[in-house]
Amino acid sequence: MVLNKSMKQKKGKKGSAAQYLTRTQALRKLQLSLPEFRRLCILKGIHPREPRKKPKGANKTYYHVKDLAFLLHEPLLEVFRHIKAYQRKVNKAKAKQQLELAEKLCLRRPQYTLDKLVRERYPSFVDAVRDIDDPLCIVNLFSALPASKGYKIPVDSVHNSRKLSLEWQAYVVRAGCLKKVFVAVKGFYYQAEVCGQTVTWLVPHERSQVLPADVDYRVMVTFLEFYQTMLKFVFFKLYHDVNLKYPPALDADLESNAAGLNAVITEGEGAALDEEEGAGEVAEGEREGGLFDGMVFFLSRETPRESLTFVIRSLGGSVGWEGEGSKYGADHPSITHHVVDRPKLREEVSGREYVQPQWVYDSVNFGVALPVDLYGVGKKLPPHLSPFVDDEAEGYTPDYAKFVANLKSGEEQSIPSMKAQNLSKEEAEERQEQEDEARYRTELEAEVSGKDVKAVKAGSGAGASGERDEDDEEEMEGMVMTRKDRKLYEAIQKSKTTKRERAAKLTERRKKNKTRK
Amino acid sequence: MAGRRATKRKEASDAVEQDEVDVRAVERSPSISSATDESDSEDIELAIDSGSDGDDDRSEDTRQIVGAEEEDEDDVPKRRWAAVMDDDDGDDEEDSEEDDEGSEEVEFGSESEDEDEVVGSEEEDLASDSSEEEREHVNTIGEGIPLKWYEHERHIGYDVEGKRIQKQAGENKASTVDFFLDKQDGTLGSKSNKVWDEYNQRVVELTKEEMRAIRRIRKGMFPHLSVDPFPDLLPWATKDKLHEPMVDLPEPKARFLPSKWEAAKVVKLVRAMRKGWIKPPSELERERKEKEEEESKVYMLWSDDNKEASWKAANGLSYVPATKVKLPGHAGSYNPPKEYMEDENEDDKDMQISSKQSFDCLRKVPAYDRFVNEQFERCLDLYLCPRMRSRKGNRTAENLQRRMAEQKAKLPKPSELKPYPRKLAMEYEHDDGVCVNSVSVDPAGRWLATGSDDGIVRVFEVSTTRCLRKWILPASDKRERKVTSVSWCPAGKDVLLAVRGYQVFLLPAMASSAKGAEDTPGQLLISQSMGLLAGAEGSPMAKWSKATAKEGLGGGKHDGLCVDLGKKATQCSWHHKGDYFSTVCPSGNNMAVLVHQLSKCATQTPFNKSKGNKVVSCKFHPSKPILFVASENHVRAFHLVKQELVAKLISGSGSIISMAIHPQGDNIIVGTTASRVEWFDLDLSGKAYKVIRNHTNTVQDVDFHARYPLFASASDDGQVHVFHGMVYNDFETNPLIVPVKILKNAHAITGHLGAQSCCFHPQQPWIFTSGADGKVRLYIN
Repeated sequence: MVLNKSMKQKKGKKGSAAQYLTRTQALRKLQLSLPEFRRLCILKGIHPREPRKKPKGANKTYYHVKDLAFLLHEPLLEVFRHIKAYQRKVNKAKAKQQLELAEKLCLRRPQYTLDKLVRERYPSFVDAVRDIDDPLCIVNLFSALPASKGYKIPVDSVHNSRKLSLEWQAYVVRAGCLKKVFVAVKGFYYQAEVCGQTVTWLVPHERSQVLPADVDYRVMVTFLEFYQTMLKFVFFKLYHDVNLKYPPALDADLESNAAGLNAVITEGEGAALDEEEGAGEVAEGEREGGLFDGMVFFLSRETPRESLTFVIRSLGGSVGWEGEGSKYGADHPSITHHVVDRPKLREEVSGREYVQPQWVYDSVNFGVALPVDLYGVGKKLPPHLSPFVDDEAEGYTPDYAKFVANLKSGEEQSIPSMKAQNLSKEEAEERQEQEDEARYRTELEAEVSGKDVKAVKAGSGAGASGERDEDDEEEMEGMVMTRKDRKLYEAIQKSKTTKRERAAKLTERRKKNKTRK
Repeated sequence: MAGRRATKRKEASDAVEQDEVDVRAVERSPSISSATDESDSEDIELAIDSGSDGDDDRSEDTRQIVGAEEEDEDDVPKRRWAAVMDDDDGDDEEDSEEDDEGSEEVEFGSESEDEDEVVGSEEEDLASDSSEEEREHVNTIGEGIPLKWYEHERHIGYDVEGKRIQKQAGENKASTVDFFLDKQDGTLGSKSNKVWDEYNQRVVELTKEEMRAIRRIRKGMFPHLSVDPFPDLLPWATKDKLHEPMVDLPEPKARFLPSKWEAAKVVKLVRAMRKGWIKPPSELERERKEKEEEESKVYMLWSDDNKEASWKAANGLSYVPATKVKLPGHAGSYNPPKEYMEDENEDDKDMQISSKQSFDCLRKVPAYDRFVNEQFERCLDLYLCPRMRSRKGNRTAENLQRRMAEQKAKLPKPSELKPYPRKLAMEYEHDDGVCVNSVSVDPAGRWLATGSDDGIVRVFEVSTTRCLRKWILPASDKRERKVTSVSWCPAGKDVLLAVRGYQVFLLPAMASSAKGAEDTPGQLLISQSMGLLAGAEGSPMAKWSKATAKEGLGGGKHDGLCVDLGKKATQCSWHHKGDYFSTVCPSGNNMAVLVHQLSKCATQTPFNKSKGNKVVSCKFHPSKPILFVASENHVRAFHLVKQELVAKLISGSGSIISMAIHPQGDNIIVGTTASRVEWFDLDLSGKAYKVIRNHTNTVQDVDFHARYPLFASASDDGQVHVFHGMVYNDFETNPLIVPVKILKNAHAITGHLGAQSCCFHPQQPWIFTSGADGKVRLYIN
């Protein structure tokens, strides 16, 4: 009897109940307040997990005990406690009007660094690069935000964000790894290939940002704090790998003129490098083989200068702009392209192309310098397509993508005929589609009435019936699957059909548009 | 300066102290000693003009202004006015001495002169004071009484003796008017400082001092020049040591002993400085900068990099990277293709991105107002959302396909499992659209019997599809016309069992009415039984009787047997020896299952109690004396000899509609309303060994092939599925089930009903199917 009792399992000693704690339990265990816990979680990268069984109910968030032990042994926790105690001292001094003391105390506040955390969270460099998307987005956002005392956005973190975003751009320009650009309503999406990882980041449009009141900026600033440290070290490694000195110097004059990327002076690190190419040239000399090699762009002042400069320089072009510090004036003879975003031009300089900014982005995405006359001043632009969509997989290719594909395959020679031929080709395709449909319909009918036909001439349909058997096999596979697999299988089938339907809808709409024209 | 002033004041006061009157004069009107400028006097004239118009209120006002400073003592004004009146001339000489008020604050030095003057004027005043008593028409009503009260009286006030003092109306009026006129004429002179004293009814000439006081009052200043509103503070204790101490106490020790506390503090500070706890601010600043630099120092964090991405966090748990943000499609562009713009009610989320905005050029794109919010939400997701690695081993599509391929490789291909019915070979004609409920093939495989909704049992030749017989069952009552089940006797005799409504018929299926035709074995059997019928006792649950069935094609009539069950029957089946057969009446409770014996025309009830809710089907074990009874949720196997329950199988899904027994008797399949076929292995457990979810509607009928390892299911979705169902004789291998053929569109769906029945050919791997569309088809391999 006694044996039985001792052998009986106690509640909460095994399984999910022992492995996971709810957030409240975690707070109690760590003796932290919620904001402190949040801060620590953000810095350490701890997130809730989903236990199989939820011992305290489904509406709770659960943390793994190992995660919490990890937090518990974090030296930073102690620093935070010190800081808290210290802050109390400062507050006390201030309350007693001992301002001198308070000031003195402020200077000696315990400091901490986060580089250990970066190493801990990202044991290998590739891990860090893999997770670099969000840091870049946040840093780019903060570099566009105003510092605000009320929302506790410190000035130096805004400056630092700006610096980091420029450093990243400078690296991408230097490494020439920009792959895709997309101008969305939300902002500029850039995609680069770094260390075999695809890095996508979003930069807001160059407009003044309004700080919404329903956002907890403390959370974002905590994220920013970690991200800044992380980016700093990642950039160091990246710069090191391409033999550049980090941090790069900023040209004070250009920086004060808001020259952005152009103010960043990337310098070679060692003397050995200098033998190959002068340090000064390193800054200027872009990678060979870019799309815009040898082209000189001049940006009008209404164009998004920072974005265009970044994109053009990443692909080997040179950039001039209206304003201080520009290497090329507006009437410099070497300018090949003039980027304009206004309805009309008063006078045009001969010997250069006038294009709208979208020409640059589209050319990058399609990997070819597109015909300039489509993007002339004041012209109605062709649609700007997302480079992140796999048209094949979606089952629907927009007209313009088809057009460019044709252009690239070199079927058409001259541009005026291109459009006409392109259209005729589309018509041909449509005809083809219609034929396919007709055939399918006849086949379907044959299938419906097929039994009789086959019954009459059973011998002749041997080959056909073999095919049919194979068709059936797919269906029959579904019968013997387990329920889980079948659900997945059905989901796959469903997603396929929805995709197909959507593509059909788009095609139909396109046809309608065409007829309306 | 202050000291000097004080002493001066003191001297002045000393001088005044000699005479009390003098002191009073100094206190009262010390500043009224200076003459007025021309312009100033004009100002006052104007002010006083209005007062002298005869308007009483106004005049009162002026009086109050003038007399503002002497409110405290009642008798003073009279005297004063008198004084003023008296020294009318003789002030003019002093004009030159006076400055304007602008400089008066500065000139404290000139004050003494002023005061001297005051003293002088006071002396004159004193002289006039004595003459005051001699004045006759002095108002005696007092300060507090308004003149208004005496306006309509002839007297004004009372004298000492209590007599009325008469107003000298005429005189006074005249003098008022005179004064006014004089003023208008300018005879008084522009410099005139005379005013009309309403109270005392006389002309008063103001002195320069009074004029100045009035001016100062009107400017909001103190009337007297010498009043200093902000005097310098006079320190009453100075640092100069007094020769004689004020307090004669011994000096406290603390005054001359050094403080211990301070010494301790100093020691502390010195030590702190020596030890470097306290630093000069410059050093502090330097240190702070150093520290900052130290903090912002960057170094190679991943020097010994092992290039591989790791999936383990430092705490040993698996690292789950956050899912990346979904990238925008064409619809998110600032200038999307037109077809992406026109969704009215798009249910796809991806299409709704950025709410269908389009701009024809880049400069028109505004800031995205949700940008900060979206980034914030992303931050929240990163630290608040539970992350779980999607089980890639099991769940992804590629993996599924891989596993499916594996499974396919493991399972034999349908082509390897031939023969099985694959092709449509024959169609057996029925009257159009009549639902064929049941088909049955004779044990030799030559004839096919069908039972349909029109109450006719047809017999076809399998090989030629020719309809040989058309049995029109005798219409005992019209309650039910449908033939729900037909079953061919397995003993090789042409006895056909047909269930219609309440009755079960035994027909000599191949009986011919042609001339010279011999009686078929079935006919013989039936007639033999009929002989017994006369003698036999009608059992209470079933009435055996003779029935004559009309043969529709040959035109003859043949005798058969009819068993009236008293309840609606749905299904019948033969014992493998062909003597016993069972019937099912779902609503019959304990009489639901009845076992009949043809050779004795007898009926027995195997169960005393109702077995299961709503019995659906009932079949004999192919070799043992076991009866399988399928109710709504269970299949029960009863040993008829031992009278016990052998097995109870539970259906997991829906209610059972149909059942078939494997020829070896150890496996059962059932079809359910939940469109599933369940395979039960009696050796394994009471639960289904395999559930096959193949159909999309109720499975109406299932059947095993007698020889080949085949089974089939017919469903209301119009399809008939053929499976390979191999049962191994060793007890280790479980049955192998492989779907081999879907007979798609075997039957058209008519009124929610599709394929109704299926039946394998006894020898060939062929299958007969019947459906609600009135077709009976034969599929061959």
